[in-house]
Amino acid sequence: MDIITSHEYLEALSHLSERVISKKYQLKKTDAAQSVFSSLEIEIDNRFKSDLGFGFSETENTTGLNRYENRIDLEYSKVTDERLIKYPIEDEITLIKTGVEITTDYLKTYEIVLTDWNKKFIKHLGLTLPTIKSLIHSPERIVLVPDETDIISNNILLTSRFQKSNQECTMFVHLSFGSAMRKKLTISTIALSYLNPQLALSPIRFFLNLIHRYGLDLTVNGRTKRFILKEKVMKKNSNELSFSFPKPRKNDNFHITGIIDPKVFYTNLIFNYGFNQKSYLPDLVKRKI
Amino acid sequence: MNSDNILYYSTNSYLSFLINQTFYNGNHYVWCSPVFDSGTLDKYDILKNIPPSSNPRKIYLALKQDVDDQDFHSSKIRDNKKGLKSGAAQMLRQKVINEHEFGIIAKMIDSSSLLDFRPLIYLIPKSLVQTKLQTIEVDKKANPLSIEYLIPNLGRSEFEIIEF
Repeated sequence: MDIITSHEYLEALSHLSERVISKKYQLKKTDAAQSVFSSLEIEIDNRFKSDLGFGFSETENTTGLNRYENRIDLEYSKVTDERLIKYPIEDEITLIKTGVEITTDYLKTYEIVLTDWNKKFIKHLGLTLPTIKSLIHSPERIVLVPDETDIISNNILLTSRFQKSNQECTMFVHLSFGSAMRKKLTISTIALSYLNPQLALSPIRFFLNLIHRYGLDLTVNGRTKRFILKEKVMKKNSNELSFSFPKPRKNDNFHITGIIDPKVFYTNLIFNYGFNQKSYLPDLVKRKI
Repeated sequence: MNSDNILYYSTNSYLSFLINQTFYNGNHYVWCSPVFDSGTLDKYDILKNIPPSSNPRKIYLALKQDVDDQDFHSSKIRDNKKGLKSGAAQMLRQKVINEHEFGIIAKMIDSSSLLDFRPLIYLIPKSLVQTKLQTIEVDKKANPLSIEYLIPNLGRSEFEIIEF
């Protein structure tokens, strides 16, 4: 039996969507809407027919078309939940909604510094700190992720395009504010991509893809996520924590970034995620990212 | 009345703006009209034939009303959600986004709040988009004289946004 990929299934749903839209708005049929039904489309249509009592060919009025469209919409959600989303992404969605595009003026008064783990890492990327600073100050896009309660919890994501080894390359940087050094911005994460130059147009999009491919599982309040925007974790007792982040073993090469701010009865977790440099670097060398 | 327009007008939800800007390389897929409100035109003006369902001002006010009234059963919002999801599926087919990104977009739509559908008006200078405009072709036009356009790849620098 052929295994149907998520992509193929979504493509079939998309074709059905297009047929419905053509019929509903009486538009001139697109190529997809005119094409012969694929076997997968027929299979999906038969399943919809058993749910709705009618298939696509029997939809004639607006009510029927709307109901069929609703059924497709439900199917998109089902595929997303069952096959596409592997971990909770509410914080990623909040990040998309709260990120604000800013200009380089914002960065002018800050000194840019590297974390210790990134001092070694940038050599693997073939970059120097002066080059990185120059690219940071001439970005394609900068996004501020503000925290209204505390400027220290603000974060900046930016992308910059440049030529490296005669190839178009995108640099992504996550800048965070240090806890005590308000006039310094720390490069928490830096990464390059050769594959999709369009990622330079959206630092948030670059970041989401980065943690999807090279992120780490973080367990907090009983749930395992890839990204924590802001979460308060109550202490069970003075010793027991309600969150756990992976600890590196021998030959591991990753870091977990973000703020872990312990208080008496709880701990604040802010902008935490992991970046597995060990799995990222081979992909970068082979130009798989 | 002089029917030479300087601007095109398009009403879109905030969520639509966000998704297009974040995931579709800043290219916005918009339907637009050469007049903001066809109801205010002279009865002999050809643009008077633009139906209410394509009238940017009417669409804006209707959507705003549903958001302000907290109408969780709004058919306009429901239609917008369906349109956004089917748009994302098309972008996946065209390889503009990958499956994980489709999943994020679908989840965003499913978990959206009413405020995410507050309407925005795009003001689009004609001089910037003349070569991108596509006339909507219909098999059987309800009103054969109605004029509507599609811009499948409106860049962010090609429009201003207003709300009222």
